[in-house]
Amino acid sequence: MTALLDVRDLRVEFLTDSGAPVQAVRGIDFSVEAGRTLAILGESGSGKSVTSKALMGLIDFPGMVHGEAIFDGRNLIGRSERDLRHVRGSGIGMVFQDSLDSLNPVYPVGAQIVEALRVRMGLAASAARRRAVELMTEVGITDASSRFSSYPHQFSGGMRQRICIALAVALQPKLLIADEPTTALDVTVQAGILRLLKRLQGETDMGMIFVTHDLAVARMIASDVLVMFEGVVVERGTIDEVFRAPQHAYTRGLLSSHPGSVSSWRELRSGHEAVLEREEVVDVDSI
Amino acid sequence: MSTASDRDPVLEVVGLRKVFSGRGGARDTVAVAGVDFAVGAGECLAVVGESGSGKSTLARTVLRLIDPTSGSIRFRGTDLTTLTASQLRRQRRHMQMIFQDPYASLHPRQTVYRIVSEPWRVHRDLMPDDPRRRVEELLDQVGMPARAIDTHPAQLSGGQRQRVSIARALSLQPDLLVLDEPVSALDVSIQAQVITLLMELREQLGLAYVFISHDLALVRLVADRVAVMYRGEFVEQGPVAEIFDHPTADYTRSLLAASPAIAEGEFEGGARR
Repeated sequence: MTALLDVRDLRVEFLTDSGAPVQAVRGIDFSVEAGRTLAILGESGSGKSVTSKALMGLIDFPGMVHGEAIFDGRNLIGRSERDLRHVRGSGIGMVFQDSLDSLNPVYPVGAQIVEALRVRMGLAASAARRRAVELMTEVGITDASSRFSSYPHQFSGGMRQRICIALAVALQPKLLIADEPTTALDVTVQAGILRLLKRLQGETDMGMIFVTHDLAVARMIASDVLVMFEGVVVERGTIDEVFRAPQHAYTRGLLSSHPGSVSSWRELRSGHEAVLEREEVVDVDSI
Repeated sequence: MSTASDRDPVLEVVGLRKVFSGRGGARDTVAVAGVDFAVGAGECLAVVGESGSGKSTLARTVLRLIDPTSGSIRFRGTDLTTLTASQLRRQRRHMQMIFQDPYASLHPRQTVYRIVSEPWRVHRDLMPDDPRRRVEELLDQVGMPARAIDTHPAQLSGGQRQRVSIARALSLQPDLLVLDEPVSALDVSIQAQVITLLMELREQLGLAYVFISHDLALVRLVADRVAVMYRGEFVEQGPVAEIFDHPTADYTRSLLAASPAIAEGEFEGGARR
């Protein structure tokens, strides 16, 4: 089976005024297949979000992206904004942690979904409206036809995020890139959204990249995982393999620092020297 | 259900209510709808709930950062709700709060020395003979190097900032800490270090904790007892193992089912546990 997305030697650096560029992503490889979910797992500063932004062409100067990301036979890296616009939406959909704030506050949510369907899918007004109500229902908005004309502020955060997911999947992307889409939400809402994404994936066989810092969420949603630390991939494999028998010290440390992995707080510190060192190195030395 | 610990409680809250009155014809919001609980010395009571459950309002009301609408808050037998401002200030040294966001709760223009010694400027009788030396001791107690004393918060990581917040809280030798999501802004590995520090301090100093959190896995590790808050009420409270293993309230069950678990097993959408 050929991969939906094939990333080779992806590097992202940010130029600085003071000379040496900051290397945020230092040459990583991975691929995503249809119907599978790859979790990119890491802590702050690991490069996980920069990776997902680079794939979507959202890194602006002074950021520089190098390497290859082959999607649909073409390299996404270095393409013009105009070119990428055709890939985004129907090729690659995206949902971010703060997507819920990106809805236009002065248009009803239904109109925003209809606009995407008309412009991108060429649907007629009445068909677009029907499809928009269907999508809102699919993402779990009860009584969608009457909520169609509601404005974003009339929805809760979780509901707004559901609408953003409806927008992202409206164009039936082959690949969905979700960057911490549930991080700001309550656990009961999060569970609903993760269930929803899994169901949509089952129906359309889309591939998914799920960027998260949350081990437990990665465990729930992903089939494969990539663990990032300081811009490199330290471990990869199927989610079951990696969680059952982590090979890299950083992954072991990360797992043993999760409160769900131990039975007493006294065990929390076990085996994450790599991480302890990191906080020391990053900060106290600069004092 | 036992709501009080066996020993004399440090804090005993009875029938606490906080209603925010609606403006311009809006309805009143009942943020805390009559809760009872007690916390003993060295004990950790966790209050869990989702956004809007009233848990942060509860935390603030317990310290009278917000005045309650009704109910009593007894701290070592003294009802805080009846105190005047100056009486309250004298009591406050015994109870301190740690906030969620260490980027917002430390003054960005003050040095660590100034931040940690600030409480002594309010409680002048507690000013040590050598405040600088005492701040160094406090920093050491929270695992910070002495040379951090002249830095500003911007030079510190989130975990280090939260350690400074803890040092500041300890400067008045309190009996009770109210911790409002103290580690939820931190990376998981840093979170583990700060939790370990808080638990060690509790043992060494016999502190009582009211630990506000949405993270059930964390609460299971740190709390002796847990209260589950939903729409301003405690739907149940009791020993942590009892509540987690045999929840009686429907809401607790759905919260447990929705909580992501790191353990084996495919996500069933809430069927597990």
